[in-house]
Amino acid sequence: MASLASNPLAQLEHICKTFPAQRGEVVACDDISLTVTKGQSLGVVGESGSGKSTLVRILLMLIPPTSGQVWLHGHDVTHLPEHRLKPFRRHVQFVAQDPLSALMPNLTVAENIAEPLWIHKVGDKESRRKTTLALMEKVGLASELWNSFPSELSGGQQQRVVIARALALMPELIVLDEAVSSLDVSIQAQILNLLQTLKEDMELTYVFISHNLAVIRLMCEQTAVMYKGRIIEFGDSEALFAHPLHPYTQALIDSIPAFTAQGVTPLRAVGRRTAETSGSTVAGCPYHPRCPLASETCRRERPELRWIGDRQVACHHAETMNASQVVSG
Amino acid sequence: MSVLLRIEDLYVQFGTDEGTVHAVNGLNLELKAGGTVAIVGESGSGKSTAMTALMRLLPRTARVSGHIWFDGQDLLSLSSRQVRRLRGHHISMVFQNPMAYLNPTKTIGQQLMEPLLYHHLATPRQAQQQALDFLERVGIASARARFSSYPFEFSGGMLQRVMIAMGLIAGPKLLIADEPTTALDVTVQAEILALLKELQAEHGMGMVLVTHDMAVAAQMADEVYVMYGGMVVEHLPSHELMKGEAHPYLRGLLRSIPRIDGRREKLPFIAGNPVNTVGTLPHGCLFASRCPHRRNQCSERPPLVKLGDRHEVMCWLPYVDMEEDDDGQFGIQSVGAAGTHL
Repeated sequence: MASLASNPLAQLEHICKTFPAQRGEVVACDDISLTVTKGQSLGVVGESGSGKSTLVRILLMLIPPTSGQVWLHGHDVTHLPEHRLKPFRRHVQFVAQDPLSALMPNLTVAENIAEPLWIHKVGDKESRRKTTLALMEKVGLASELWNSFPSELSGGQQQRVVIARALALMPELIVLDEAVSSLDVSIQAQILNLLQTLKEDMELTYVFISHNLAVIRLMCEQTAVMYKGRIIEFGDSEALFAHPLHPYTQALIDSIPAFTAQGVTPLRAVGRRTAETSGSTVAGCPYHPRCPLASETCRRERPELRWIGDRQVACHHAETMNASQVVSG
Repeated sequence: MSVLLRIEDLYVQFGTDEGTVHAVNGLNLELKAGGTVAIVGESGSGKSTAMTALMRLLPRTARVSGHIWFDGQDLLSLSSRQVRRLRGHHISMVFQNPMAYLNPTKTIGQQLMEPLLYHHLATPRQAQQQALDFLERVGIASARARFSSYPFEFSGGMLQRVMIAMGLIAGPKLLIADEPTTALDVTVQAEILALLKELQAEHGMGMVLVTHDMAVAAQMADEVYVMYGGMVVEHLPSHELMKGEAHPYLRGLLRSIPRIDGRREKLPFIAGNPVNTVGTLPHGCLFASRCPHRRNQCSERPPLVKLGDRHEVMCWLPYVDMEEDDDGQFGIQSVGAAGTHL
């Protein structure tokens, strides 16, 4: 298969994923297309139930999509059998939210870190030992912890072990699902700095899932905002957070309590949910029951993802959003 | 305004196999009627333990000393029977994880009416009407249909609304909200926080908000107590956050939060790990081992220094700064020799 022009690390094309449910089915991902290129880390934000985790599981080749294709390094891996998938797995590694449950409790720190090397039969015993030691140093773990068990470590140290293990096979792409959310604030900053340093030193590309917009903005060049299984806005992180073009992105930004140059952001409840959207698909734009800009068109017609400048947005009123910001900003 | 709640020299210790856990080490806190204070701190700083002690919900094995004055009585000296009369009536608590605190085998309505029926505040018929009103008040659509639903049929945000309704239905004077929005999405968090604020204003109750999120504390509270290793290291009006904080721990913590505006760069961070409260505590400042401004003095436990109105810090630094540069940044009038404050 011919590799694509810009040589993307991973590519999702028109991914749909549905799960059977008691009444009909749940649409977790609805026609999602994303390209991850080297050096352009991608942040994915959205509330629970927006399909972020399903998207990640598809990207990690843990579950097959209902329809659509997954490309890795220019190869279509969507329907490959497990034994042919294995060589691809080493290019994409995963860091989960809760480090303690992600580590093997009965293996020592060193064994945990070296496990991917065993599984993929990399090097001999001696070289694995050296690699493990180097990895521990790289993520800031003292070599005295070699024989410790995960339960003996602090949360920050555990997450360092998980990161070291993810680095063992020298992947190009690391998927981090809420990787710092369970850590205390002071430890969170340590891990974020470590991830930034590794990103530069090892030329890594991240796919970073988080509900913390500030973390996404810090770690990722690009951001995709998801709502009800669809990408509703996509673009350069800094521009997207400074001037959101989708009312939902705006609502997300408005609702995070954050310190800015002017002090803390005021408390405001945006788009109180009056209508209960009970799982069933809403006609028109999925966000219209909560949207302050909702008009007749929004109730009738579902907006497609379209380009406005170098941003992609799925909203009938994106131009209004754009204009109001030019005026007010 | 009168003082609704005053915690004086609260100590809580637990005996474990690894040694004594010094969970709370001399907490002092004051809440005015109708006001809001926030207790912020990382996990293990003792913030939840202190509130559990206030609710008298700690296990029997916990060693508790000090005073918790609420409405003229010391909560720690009351009998269990007297405490039960207060709990759910005059003092209520909203927890982080509503799924774990609601009874899965009872309907939402049954549980919502419980405080009223338990404290004989209403007849069953009145209780039902009040419960329905409250469900609507906290923003649950079609309250009548939802009344006979079970907790598993609700989303996390809806359950937290139910918890808040349960906490407020008996008209408490004091609400303890322990990480009420930590498990929720940001948009839902904003709705719940706004709801809490509204209801607080309506009912004129006092609130203690326990959170690890500095920004939430700043949005919600009048005053913030920052805990570290079971002690309050700084107490300040919330508008002073990001402007006038003095303790190196709080300064470090605030600067380590990723920002939504400004430049994207490496975060300044606090090295090391939070102090271990198992076994003997360090003699000196609990933060000394992680502190960038550490000096010899820090091997002595610093006193709580008053820096201004409702602003105190447990640190030697204000003295040092005054000695080094006389800019009066911390507003101390007389620079006493460090020793005189011991």
